[in-house]
Amino acid sequence: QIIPGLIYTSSRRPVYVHSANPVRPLQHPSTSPHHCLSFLVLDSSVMSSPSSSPEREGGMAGSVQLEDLNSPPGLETDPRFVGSPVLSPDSSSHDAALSAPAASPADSENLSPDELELLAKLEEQNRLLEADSKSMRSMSGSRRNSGSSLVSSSSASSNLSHLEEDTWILWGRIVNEWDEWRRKKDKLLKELIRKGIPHHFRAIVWQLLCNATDMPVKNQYSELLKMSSPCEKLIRRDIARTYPEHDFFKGQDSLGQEVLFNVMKAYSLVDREVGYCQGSAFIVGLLLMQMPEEEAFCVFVRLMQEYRLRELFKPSMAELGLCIYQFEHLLQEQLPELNVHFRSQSFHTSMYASSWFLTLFLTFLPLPIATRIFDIFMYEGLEIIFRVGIAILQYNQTDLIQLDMEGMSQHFQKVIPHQFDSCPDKLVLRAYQVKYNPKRMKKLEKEYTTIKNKEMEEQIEIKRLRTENRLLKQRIETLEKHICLYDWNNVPEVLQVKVNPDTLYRQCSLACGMWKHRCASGLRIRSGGIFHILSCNSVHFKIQWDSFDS
Amino acid sequence: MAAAGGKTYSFKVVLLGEGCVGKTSLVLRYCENKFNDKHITTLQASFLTKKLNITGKRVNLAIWDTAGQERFHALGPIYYRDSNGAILVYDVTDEDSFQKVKNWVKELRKMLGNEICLCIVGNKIDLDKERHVSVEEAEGYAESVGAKHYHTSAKLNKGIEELFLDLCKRMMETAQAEERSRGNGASHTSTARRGVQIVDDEPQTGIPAGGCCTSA
Repeated sequence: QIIPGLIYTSSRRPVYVHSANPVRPLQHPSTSPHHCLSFLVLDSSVMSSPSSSPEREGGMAGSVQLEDLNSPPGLETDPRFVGSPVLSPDSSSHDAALSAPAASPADSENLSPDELELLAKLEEQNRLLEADSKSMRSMSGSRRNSGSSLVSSSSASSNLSHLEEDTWILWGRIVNEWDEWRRKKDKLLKELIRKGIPHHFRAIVWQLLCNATDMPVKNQYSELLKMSSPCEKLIRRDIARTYPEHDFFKGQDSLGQEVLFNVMKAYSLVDREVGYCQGSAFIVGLLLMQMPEEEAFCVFVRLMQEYRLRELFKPSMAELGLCIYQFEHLLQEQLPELNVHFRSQSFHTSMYASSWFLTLFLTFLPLPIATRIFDIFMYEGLEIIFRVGIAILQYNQTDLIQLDMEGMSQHFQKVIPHQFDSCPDKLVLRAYQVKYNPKRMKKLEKEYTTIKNKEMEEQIEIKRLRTENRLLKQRIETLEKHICLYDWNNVPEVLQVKVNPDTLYRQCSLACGMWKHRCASGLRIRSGGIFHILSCNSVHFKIQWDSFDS
Repeated sequence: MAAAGGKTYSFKVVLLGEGCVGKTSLVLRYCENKFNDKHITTLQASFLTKKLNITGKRVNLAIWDTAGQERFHALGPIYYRDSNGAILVYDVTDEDSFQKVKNWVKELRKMLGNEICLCIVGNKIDLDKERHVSVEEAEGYAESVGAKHYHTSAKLNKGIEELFLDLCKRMMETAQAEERSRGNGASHTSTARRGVQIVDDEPQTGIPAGGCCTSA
């Protein structure tokens, strides 16, 4: 079981990576004398763009190198590896990272003083890294037209609190004892995720959360890339328009654009019905900032299958309609005044909330906050999107109510996205104060389905009527041609028609056509029955056949 | 309100067309005189306004930019409902995007009738060397469906002012004509006046794939 995508970092200095991912292939675990340390250096000089953001580099630097190593299948997750650090003194030694096995805490107790000192240094470096990622979080991500871009952060502080160190150790333990946590400490895990998964753990935790660590489809990935997809043109059009301000995705033929295209293409091949839908590339893009393309592909497949995203992105986009419907009702129930105001301004829910659902706030909020929401989404699903959405509206209610359509539109684009830049926790906290009743949501879903089914039936009925109308028109034309053959000066008073069940309808029609000019109300025929001409005009007619026999 | 004298016209204009033909760029160039080749894919309609003064009459434009991918229109015609004008954009280097314009014309004529002023716009003429839609074909088609044709480049700021100015004049004419036909009665809003026309007879065959909101 391979759970790759471990720890990624930035900066030009040698980087010490905590072995949050001891499940990475480690060879000869029992034979190596140096159990506790292995090396991995990620130097930004290997990256395409040295000024790229820490978060981005973090994601890909690790992934690329790890992929290049073409490593053998890894070991089972082993709780013994908790907290063992991974160190690299120089960038040429990354092979060592995978060949040097990790060690158990018990082993590390038997270390030489030198080794202990080294270990302490590592811990210190880890703290710096964590500080790096913390400082990242306070910066805004790339936004539409904002002109802002991520700037490389070098503000690592050497004074890191014990709390953060504890967080680090704790998450290391969670990852290693994953199954146990899910079984026994799920509530605590949920709480921790709401507080935010530490940046360096996201890749692995996201994979674990959606159960994407061992998917057969992963083996198809390289084959899929060799195939061509009917969606390629569609996908390519959007590649440069996905996180265009983000260093990783900047520039034609950048690595980011290439892997994004690959994953989108591969997905469009395994799910022909969905193919490619605009919006989904932002989700994949976020995954690619954290993990290698194959892993990102697997996680995306899981998200599509298990997190309602597939329904969201299907050609009918039915799920989006449902989400909007449900959201509208939450709004109506919880913020009735705002709802009335929106209605009075014809500000439809889908005008501001569609992208919230389609990209899980990734195109609405700066990346650091949107990634926090994504953490929670990975555990709790779309519920968090409803919660955050309502929380945002709640927070802005007084402002919005005073604005007209244009003002609101501007407020949504320019003001709201940056309201929580300095305090993502506030938004998360507010989101959890929002009332959300799953039963109510289920009920709304049923309502919506009923409405939609009814609409669909009506559509089908309309279609059917149109077809019938068309056929009738054709028949009239044919009949009128036939009528011309009759001698209109010699139409009998009583039309005698020999009824042949096969041609009954046609004969009725003929009779009707002949008699319509005489306004006959009925006509007698030999076989023992009467045609009642119920109505008759040049467009259509109705005839009723009453048999004497019955 | 569409009325004579010192009153102001308010028009709703919607931009439609295949993804990545430059709808957002056209609006941004027109409303904010900006060109940014680094904006993200449009995923939901966005809204911008512009105020003009045409021959002494004030005109307020509400411009709706929409998402390009077809499936985004499955949720209903809320963006082009009640529009006075529609700008159907294609990319002169992309033949497919021109075919999409044809679908839009059918859809709009069906849903809004002949009252809507249609503009067909070939954007990206800065890439004229890679042109795949011939000028004659595009202009001929536009004429055949009662639309005006324009060539623009949002990048070089070409043809955009003319496009919107012409469209405004046409919408004013339509509004004035409508006013006259209603006699000298009370003025009325130029938006929110039309119901959706029920089209009795659907084309029998060759319904453009995906041109309609009901397409699968």
